[in-house]
Amino acid sequence: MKTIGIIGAGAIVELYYINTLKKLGFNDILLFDTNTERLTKIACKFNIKAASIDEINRYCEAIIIATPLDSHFKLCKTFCRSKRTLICEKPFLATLADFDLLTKIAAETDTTIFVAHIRRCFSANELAYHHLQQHDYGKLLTAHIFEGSRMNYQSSSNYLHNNPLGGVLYDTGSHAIDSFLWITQLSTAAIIIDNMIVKTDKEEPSHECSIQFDINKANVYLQLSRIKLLANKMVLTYERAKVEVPLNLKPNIIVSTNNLMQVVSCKDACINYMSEAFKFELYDLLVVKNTEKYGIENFRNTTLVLEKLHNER
Amino acid sequence: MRKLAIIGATGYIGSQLLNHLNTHFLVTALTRNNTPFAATQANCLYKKLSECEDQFDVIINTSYSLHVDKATIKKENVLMSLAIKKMAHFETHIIHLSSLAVFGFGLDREIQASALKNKNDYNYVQSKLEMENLLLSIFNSKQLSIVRLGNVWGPENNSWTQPIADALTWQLPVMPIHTSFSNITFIQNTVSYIHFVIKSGERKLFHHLAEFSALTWGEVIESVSIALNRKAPFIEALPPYPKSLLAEFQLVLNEENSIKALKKIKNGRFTSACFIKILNNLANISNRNSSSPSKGSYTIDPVFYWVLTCNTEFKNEVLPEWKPIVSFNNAMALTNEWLSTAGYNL
Repeated sequence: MKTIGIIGAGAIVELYYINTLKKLGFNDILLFDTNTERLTKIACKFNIKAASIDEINRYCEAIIIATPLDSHFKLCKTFCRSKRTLICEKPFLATLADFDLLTKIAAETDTTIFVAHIRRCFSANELAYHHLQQHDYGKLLTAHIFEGSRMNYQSSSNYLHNNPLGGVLYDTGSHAIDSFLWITQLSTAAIIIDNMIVKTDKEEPSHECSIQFDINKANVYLQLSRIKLLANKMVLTYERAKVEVPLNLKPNIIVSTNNLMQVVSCKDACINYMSEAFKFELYDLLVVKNTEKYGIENFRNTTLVLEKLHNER
Repeated sequence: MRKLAIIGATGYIGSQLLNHLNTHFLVTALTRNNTPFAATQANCLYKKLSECEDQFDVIINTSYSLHVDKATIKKENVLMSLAIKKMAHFETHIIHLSSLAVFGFGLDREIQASALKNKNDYNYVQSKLEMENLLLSIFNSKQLSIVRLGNVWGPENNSWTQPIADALTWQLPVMPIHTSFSNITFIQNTVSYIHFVIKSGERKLFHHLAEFSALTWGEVIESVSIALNRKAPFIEALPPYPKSLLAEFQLVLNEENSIKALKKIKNGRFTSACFIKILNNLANISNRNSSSPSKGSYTIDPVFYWVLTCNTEFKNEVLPEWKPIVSFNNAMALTNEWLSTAGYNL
């Protein structure tokens, strides 16, 4: 079994990553965090080894980067090495320039980089992705996306308050945008973005934002909040159908054509809990190596859209 | 200005109380975690519960231990009750917000506005019961008011309003086949009543607040269903609600999948208290042998269904001078307004 390195000992690592890796049989885990007190606490809690960046770089065949966005490029670049798998948490990178440079470095060093956009394995996202591949409803006209919940915890690094890239757009917004691009098959298509209007509740890092933009002439309305509870759904209006997709673990999508509503259900192939989703995702990344879904090239458009929207605020 | 502390100020009820009471009192929001996000958003004093050295004239407690382990629940609840004791002086009014769930999720215990004995039950129920009894052992009836809330309903409520709107949106079973009591209290009425209890000189130890208790879930769901223009699928298969250890064992024996059976015992209403040690060892063994992931059928939290199909009324027993400030029709109008702005009826 591989030795896995984890950079960052935050809440997601504590709640999901380490447990999931152990459940999948990856028991040889090295952990690093800049906060030594936190690092010791989490390493002791899970009986894994606290290590330095150098040790992780030397001994690990696969490395998970679960740190705030502004450290991703530097860390990914540091760890690029032949035959190594890097798994970087969302949001991946802040700029397209960083993205293109890292893609080049990864190719030159024969490093496999995956982006851990976990929602790509959510039941309804998979269902919608395959449904829209199999049905031609014409051109996409509009997309309404609502993602919001009352956040009641604080990140260990406090990036939600002090990091200009810690706003809601790069946080849950990156999930919503990535799901939208992936489901509508726009994640790898040529895209043109214009007519952007971005309103935020305050200077970055913002906690609420409302965004309108056109992507390949389809109007997108995006509402994001970490203060208010919203419907957490996406409504895609095509020329011949309206498709509603949950942005959470709900199992169904709703397809309406000619005023006829149809429930498309995942039935017996559902993921019910976040812990299950992590198990699927890490299995896909570390065992199956699903580049079609999580490979770096699938996230260029997500990076592009996020950077444009962030710069427009 | 009187000094008031809200413990659990970042939750749904706590944050609504904070917004309302902030203009009437010198409010301090107390939370158990480090600088929680929601607390830093509120325009009030913020402190960590374990580090608070102040004393208050009024303390509202909405919190209780949510830990998965029953022994830790007990420990955390004791610590919380001692922290409340430390922040109270001889005339402090302590208002503890409890829940109708102290009578069981299915309200299968006799409903009485008086003290209840601690009993083995699901963690949430047991924790709520323990918290009531810990505070009763520390404070007398002149200082303590225990307000058992019905099912809290309202805009942005994530316990009942959101799950019902979600079930309708995604066409999941939600409408009870038989008449069932909603046992609802509307959030603005909840806040108004707590404020009334603080202002009133009259001390009453136990309060049951569910001003719309007699309304059926059918009526509530119908209203949301119309607002969302979605039909409400019926709850046809009800997850069994065990009323005794024997009945719960029967359910475990009927489970064909051994891992699921173990989980049922571990998270059971009565079994979890009896067999936790053996199960923890077994869980460790099963974790070590786990294989590649496999998907299952979609499951909704059974508590949601037990509450939606509950045929026992949790009657309102409050201070007689208080009147709800929002009628049921207005409550539903406000709820539907939120559903619209939140993107539900698009």
